[in-house]
Amino acid sequence: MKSKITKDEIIALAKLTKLRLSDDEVEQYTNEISELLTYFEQLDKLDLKDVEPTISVGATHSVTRADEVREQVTTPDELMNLPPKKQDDFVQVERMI
Amino acid sequence: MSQSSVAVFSWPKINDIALSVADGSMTAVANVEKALSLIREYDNTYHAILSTCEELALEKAKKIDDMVASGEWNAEEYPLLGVPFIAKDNLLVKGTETTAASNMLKGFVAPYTATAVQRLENAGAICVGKANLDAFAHGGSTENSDFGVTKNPHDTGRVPGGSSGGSAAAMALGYTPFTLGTDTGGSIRQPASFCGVVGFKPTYGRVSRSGAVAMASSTDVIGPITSNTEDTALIMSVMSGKDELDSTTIDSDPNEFRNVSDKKSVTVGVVKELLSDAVAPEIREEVEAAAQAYRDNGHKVVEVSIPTIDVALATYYVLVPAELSSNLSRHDGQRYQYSADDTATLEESYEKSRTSGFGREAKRRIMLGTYVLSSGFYDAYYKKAQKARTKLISEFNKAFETCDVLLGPTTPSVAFKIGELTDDPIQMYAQDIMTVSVNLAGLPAISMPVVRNSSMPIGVQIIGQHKKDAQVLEVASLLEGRES
Repeated sequence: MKSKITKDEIIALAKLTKLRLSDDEVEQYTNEISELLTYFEQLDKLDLKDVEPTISVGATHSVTRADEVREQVTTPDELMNLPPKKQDDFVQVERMI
Repeated sequence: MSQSSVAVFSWPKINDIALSVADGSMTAVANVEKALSLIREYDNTYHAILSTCEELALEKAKKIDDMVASGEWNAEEYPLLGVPFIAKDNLLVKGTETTAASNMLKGFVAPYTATAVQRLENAGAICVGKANLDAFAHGGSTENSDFGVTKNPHDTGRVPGGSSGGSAAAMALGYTPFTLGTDTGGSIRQPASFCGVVGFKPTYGRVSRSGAVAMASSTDVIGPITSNTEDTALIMSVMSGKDELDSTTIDSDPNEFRNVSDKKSVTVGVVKELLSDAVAPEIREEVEAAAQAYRDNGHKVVEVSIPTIDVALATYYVLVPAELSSNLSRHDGQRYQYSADDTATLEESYEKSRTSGFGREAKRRIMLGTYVLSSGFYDAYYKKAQKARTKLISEFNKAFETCDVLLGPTTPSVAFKIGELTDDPIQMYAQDIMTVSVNLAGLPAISMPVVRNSSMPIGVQIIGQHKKDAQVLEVASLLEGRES
């Protein structure tokens, strides 16, 4: 059976999603994702003419509130406990370029 | 239904526990200590629990006991007074490590508490520990947990189901009077079915998602796992309602869950597509037995058809990876404790952190989700699945024109053996075949246990109309007290 997705496409996807894959993993994900895409072909048999897409099944209206300072869920100090690297009051990351 | 035979401790009903703490015949501290001692004594065997929060829990319990002793408090505000519980480890509880069972969140200490948990604690309940799950709630067996599989209490060679497998196993064992799970495609109901307990998935938006580690935002929902529907109703009455921290939450009548024992006559629709040949004969028999129980009690039972259920699994596995690929992009090695060592650039840090932090299942779903959202394939997969979702919802609506609730199995088989499906993603995903359509439509549903002597438990699923959560519990309560 012809694969629904190529190894090159998997390598491109890994790059987009910031994942590094070994050659074995490229092979494995090519097979697995190809199988899933084949499985999804069953959606083609539905008659979806004039059917609108559903995005959410909950409340979908915009919620607004007055712009007032209120009790905070977390304090800045608590948030600053989270990043793995920091210096003084700054989150530290590796150089970007 | 009979009481789970595997329980290592039998707690009274939740209301009775709260009353006994209120009248001083029991203390919150003693309840918390009991729960912690059960976990210490038994969990080496089952591995349902990832961490306990002993110090925090005892501190909260002590406060409750002091408040009761002071006499200056209003019992009505504390329907869960001194009741210990366990939360799935993808729910934030301030001051406790919340890992979502992933190396990616190892060491992450929650800076705030999930709204659902906060409401329970405001009502007097006390979180004593965090339960195992498939990492980031991706899976149906807890085998994807980065911290080891949970064993099914009915047979330690089998999985407890998932992703809320730790919560369901902990409930079956009776560590606490109730536990919390999350259900994106069946993750409360399927493990409840495998472990022989009551698992309830509320209407989407009924319970705030604030403080739950996001998987698929359009179907994620938090719900209780209990031993009976009365306890489920009590937990729901406390936990549900609008929350300004989650704009998809819906209004709730606080009294809705108070009178769930009314036994009005209803029409139960048995869903043809949920009883295909893929379902084990012993499970089909239990669904038929439940239908007969309704007939015997004067309810009407009819057959209904929801054809799009046949492609619901494909629909779900397009939409959910799409949503989670976006939700998991925030885990980049810079924000939540975990970060790869020895990196020279930010790009390298992103890649190395995500590569070592995410497991195989998360990676597969992230790449699949990114693929179906990419510009060349968006219409062919993502948009098509969104339309299929609309079709499915309209078919459910049509079924509810003639039926009050729908009936079917929770799972196609009983709990499978550890390792049995790990190499076959499609077979593993097929575990969700009976449950995903409910999430896509945002409906409330419950798995009611049929606990059998010397064989694995079975779950019967009752699906209700949008926002009619209480009716689901009311109808489900009729299945309690039956002997299989």
